[in-house]
Amino acid sequence: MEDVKKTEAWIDESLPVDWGKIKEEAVGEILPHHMKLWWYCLGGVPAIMFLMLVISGIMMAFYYVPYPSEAYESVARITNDIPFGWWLRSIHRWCAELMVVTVSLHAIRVFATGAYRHPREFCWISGSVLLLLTLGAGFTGYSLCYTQTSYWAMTIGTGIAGKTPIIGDFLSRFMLGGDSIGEATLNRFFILHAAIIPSIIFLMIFVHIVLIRLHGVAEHIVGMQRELIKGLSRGDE
Amino acid sequence: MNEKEGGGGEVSRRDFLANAAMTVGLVASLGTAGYYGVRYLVPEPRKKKFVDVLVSSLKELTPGAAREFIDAQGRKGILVNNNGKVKAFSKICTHLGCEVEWHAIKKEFFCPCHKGYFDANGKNIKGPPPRPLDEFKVTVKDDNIFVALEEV
Repeated sequence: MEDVKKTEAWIDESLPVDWGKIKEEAVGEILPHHMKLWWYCLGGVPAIMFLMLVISGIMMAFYYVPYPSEAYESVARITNDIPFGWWLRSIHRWCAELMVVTVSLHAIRVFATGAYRHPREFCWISGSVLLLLTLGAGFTGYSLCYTQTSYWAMTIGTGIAGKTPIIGDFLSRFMLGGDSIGEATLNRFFILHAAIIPSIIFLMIFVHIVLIRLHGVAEHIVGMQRELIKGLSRGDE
Repeated sequence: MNEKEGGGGEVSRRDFLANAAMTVGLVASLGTAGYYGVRYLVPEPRKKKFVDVLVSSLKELTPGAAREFIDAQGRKGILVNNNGKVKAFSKICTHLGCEVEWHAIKKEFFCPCHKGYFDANGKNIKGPPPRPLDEFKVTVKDDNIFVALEEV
């Protein structure tokens, strides 16, 4: 017991951090009753998915080669030859799909319950950016496998960008890194997918969570009203 | 969960079991993931590469004849034409590493150190050797005899 106390004192002195306060901040927040229902907590799922995606993505970057003649081969090698490569790739793929699904469901829930209202405008805006970034990461990642579907998805994606008024031509050329899909395109998509988009997502998640913690979880106005004035229809405030 | 100086009875059985189950689950899943991750990153074991080396020809190695050779790493081998069937064996006896000799009349390999015998297919037939002689892969192409030797 004496030794334990000594060690604890040593840790407190050399790392003067109030662990109790951190724990209180991290898990001690008092939440409204409706947060017991899982569909009000869907925002946490994409955050966990993002963590898994970063880990499995870094692992796959060890063997992936973003070069037209090698990209598909290296993905096939990860899937078929390298031990547990199939496992990491499956985790990455399914986490990606689940992230897109849960981010969308979360956005729908926030929209349907009106949780985006003043003073939480910035939560909504950062969330919208996160939704777009998630879709962007999905698109670029899908292209990196360099299968037939990847190729044509790239063609369609950059084609859509190309139809933007005035800057369309520039935009599609900028995305492709030239006039057609090639070496430069794969490099661009790889850097977007593996470096730029995840960094921005990480920053936006940080902003998103800080804003939520500053504001507190939105009260469920519709439900509360219902409880107070029985018989009112949804959306009445 | 917070009872740090819980000497006895301060942590309830319920909490203890819950924490224990949580810890076991976490350790098991993270351990599995860690093992998979390490296996994924460890490169595949070095593959042995073999090169076909020309050692003799069927003109030299008539049926019943034998011929010795040394590979690039200095390991000695012996080439035997056993009635048209060419085989190559390591000269190293599998017992204690002496060099075996080919006995042309008996069609046997003989190790003089401890009287070990191997038949023409390299199989240990008499004496102390515990297993057959190590064999090299032989290819015959246009009367030329190639032996697959490990690349250094």
